[in-house]
Amino acid sequence: MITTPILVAALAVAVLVVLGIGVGYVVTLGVGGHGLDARLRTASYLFRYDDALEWLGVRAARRKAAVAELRANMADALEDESAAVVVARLGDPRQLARDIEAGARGPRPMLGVAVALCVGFVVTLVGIVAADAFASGVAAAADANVAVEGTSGILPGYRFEAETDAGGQIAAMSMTASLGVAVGIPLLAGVLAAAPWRAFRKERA
Amino acid sequence: MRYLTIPSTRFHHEDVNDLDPQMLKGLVSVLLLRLIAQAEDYGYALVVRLREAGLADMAEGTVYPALSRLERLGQVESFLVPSEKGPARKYYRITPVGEDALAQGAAGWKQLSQIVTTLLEGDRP
Repeated sequence: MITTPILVAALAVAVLVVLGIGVGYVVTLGVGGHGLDARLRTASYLFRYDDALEWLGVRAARRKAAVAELRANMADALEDESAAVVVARLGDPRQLARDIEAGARGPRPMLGVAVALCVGFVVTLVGIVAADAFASGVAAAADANVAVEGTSGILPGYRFEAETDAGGQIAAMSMTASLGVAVGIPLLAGVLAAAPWRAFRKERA
Repeated sequence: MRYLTIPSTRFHHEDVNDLDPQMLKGLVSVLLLRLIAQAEDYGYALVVRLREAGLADMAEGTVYPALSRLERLGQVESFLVPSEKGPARKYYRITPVGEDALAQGAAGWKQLSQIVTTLLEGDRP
């Protein structure tokens, strides 16, 4: 049997592990030998730069090389200037990533997943709102013990079924989603955003 | 193979601090090709050399994208050199394509600068 103290201890261990991984990541990613402030600033910059490259669809190997090059350059720049100045001279990491990788972009899987999830969420939300509107309409009719079926104009292929009880209130409600709309539209949006065809396109200047 | 260590950050020439960044951007590629043709070097050292030449406000955020573009165009190629201070440095060397681009860029700049000088120094009506 798992007791509360065991759960608390397990949670504490999990938090410590996550913190340890985070600190280890900062120590690994940041430029060493220049104090904690420099390490944190450079780690933060490199993390955001890497993240921006990933969102731009830069291939993993190229991304790794780009981050390593920037880390080496930052390490040398820190010999001459403070971390704050070094970071300031580089500018916004997202802009730097865009400038460096302009014309050399590959597929954007992360963006594709994010767009697919967002569109899927919106489609689901619209379905729920449509179902609620349908149920409200059925309830407003106040007919007792009836089963009503209907469709939605804005979500083709969706079917709604509602049953009322003896008092004319909704007793059961169901919604049948169209696979093409519920999955197909988010998938299509995700694929368009991810731009997988970029993997086959020759890099341009 | 020639490597260049980071030179002093003291400026030996009169610093040029008030140049239009947009005007400089168009010239960075040619300047980088010239510096790399003189001696193979890596990103930050090239920034320092540009600053020593008088472009004191030359930012890394301008130079690194230009280097990346030159490499993508095949005008320079890169190789890693281990560093005692930290991560391996990515050195750049000029390619034959880069030599051609440098020659074209230098000729274009001379022509343009002559025209601009003539226009700027000509008698006003």
